[in-house]
Amino acid sequence: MADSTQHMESDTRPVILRATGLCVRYGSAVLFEDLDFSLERSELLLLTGPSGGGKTSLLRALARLHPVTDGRLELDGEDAAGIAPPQYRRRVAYLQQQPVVTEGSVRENLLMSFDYSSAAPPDIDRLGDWLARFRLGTIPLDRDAADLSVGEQQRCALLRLLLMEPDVLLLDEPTAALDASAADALLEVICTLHAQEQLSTVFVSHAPPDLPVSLSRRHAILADGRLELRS
Amino acid sequence: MSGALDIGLLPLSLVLIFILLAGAASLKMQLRLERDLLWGTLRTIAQLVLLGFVLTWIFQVRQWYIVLAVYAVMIFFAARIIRGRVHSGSIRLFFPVFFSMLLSYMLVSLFVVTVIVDAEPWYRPDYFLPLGGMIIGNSMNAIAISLDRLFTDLQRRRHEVELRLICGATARQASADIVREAVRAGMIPSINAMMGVGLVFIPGMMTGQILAGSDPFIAVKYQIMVMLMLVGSTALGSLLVVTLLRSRSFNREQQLVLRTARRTRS
Repeated sequence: MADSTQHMESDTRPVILRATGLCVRYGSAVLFEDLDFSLERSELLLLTGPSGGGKTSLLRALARLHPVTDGRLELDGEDAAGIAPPQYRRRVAYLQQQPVVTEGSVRENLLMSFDYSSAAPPDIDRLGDWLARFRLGTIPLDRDAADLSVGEQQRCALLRLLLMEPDVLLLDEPTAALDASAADALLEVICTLHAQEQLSTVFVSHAPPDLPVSLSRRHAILADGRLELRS
Repeated sequence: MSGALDIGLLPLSLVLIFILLAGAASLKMQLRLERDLLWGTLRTIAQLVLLGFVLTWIFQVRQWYIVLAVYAVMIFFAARIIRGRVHSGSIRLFFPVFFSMLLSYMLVSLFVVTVIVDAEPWYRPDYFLPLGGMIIGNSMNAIAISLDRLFTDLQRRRHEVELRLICGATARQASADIVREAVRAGMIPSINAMMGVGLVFIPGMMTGQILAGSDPFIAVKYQIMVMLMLVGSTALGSLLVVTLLRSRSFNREQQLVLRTARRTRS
């Protein structure tokens, strides 16, 4: 893959997540080198590009799930190297492409992050509100999570991340594994949520999804190791 | 009681009839095992005759450093066999396995020989090496099973492990279930053997002692010691090796870096 660079800088709003000179390899292959990236606070950035262009790897590198050979990450102005990976990942939440549920009930899946933190889980009323917003209100919390439909599992996976109250949300082709109606339902949840919560979000998609134009002010395209920004 | 009856070379050669029978069955059923049978027979005879000479020499010399060197060589070969049997992908496992086995099994062997058997000196080769050999042989299988399970599950359940990392788990927390199941898988054969011993089979060591003219109850006491020692050493070895190699499957950034094959991702 090419190693050229396209710098992508913010213009007005403060930057919540910034990557500078990022270099990511997969085995001996260089996926991209010296890549700069920034996400503004409260923006929903749409990131597209051809299959195999490195979108997932970029997102995983931003989530510190994939090794970075070189470069620097900053979260809200703080050098990410100074933040322990578990704490960083709770603040920069990554939604996997395929919905992942673990053995156990819906409640156990939703509250998984509280097993690894000292924070108190939300009370039942607050959890009920969230479930209703995610169109999961009719699902009993003690139901086996594996019995949910794929669409419900993905909404459950997204809600699991939001309960961590992250600063940044990284969505890796969240509708790729869903059928059309489940994808529409998830997109609607994401749009409503972003309009209400203004959570800084990167939305990766193979092709531009049906997001309202007002939501995504900037559109980045990753291809051949270059990141090109369009308004 | 008298010692074991000696077997003459001519009668001993008659056991080759069983190999000939197996070879004939292989030919008849087109199993294509004739070469393996021949090679296996030659290796068995050669390795055991060589072992006979080596043990005779070691028993005569009786030097602690020679006993420990032989012990280390046995573990070296066990670690090599484990490396050959386990698909660990990008993780190099020979040295972690070798040093973990050396440390843990040396301690178990020393405890058994000096405290339980009360042999003098502590390195008495006719006790230290056979007991150590049993520990190494049994635990080798347990470690191979545990490691195979560890690496297979870390690959197969990669998304689940990463989900836990995403939720703020440390690498240790994210792989705790997998480690637990890997150690458990390695220990189950030893526990099953404890259930069947004396009912389903008479163990090799006890058989050997009885054939050598020992009192059956002395053989029973030795066998009880060996069975319990094997379960303990299996648990210790598997736990140590699995824990060590689990940590090697993650990097400092607590990212799962174990890879068995290149994947293509968008």
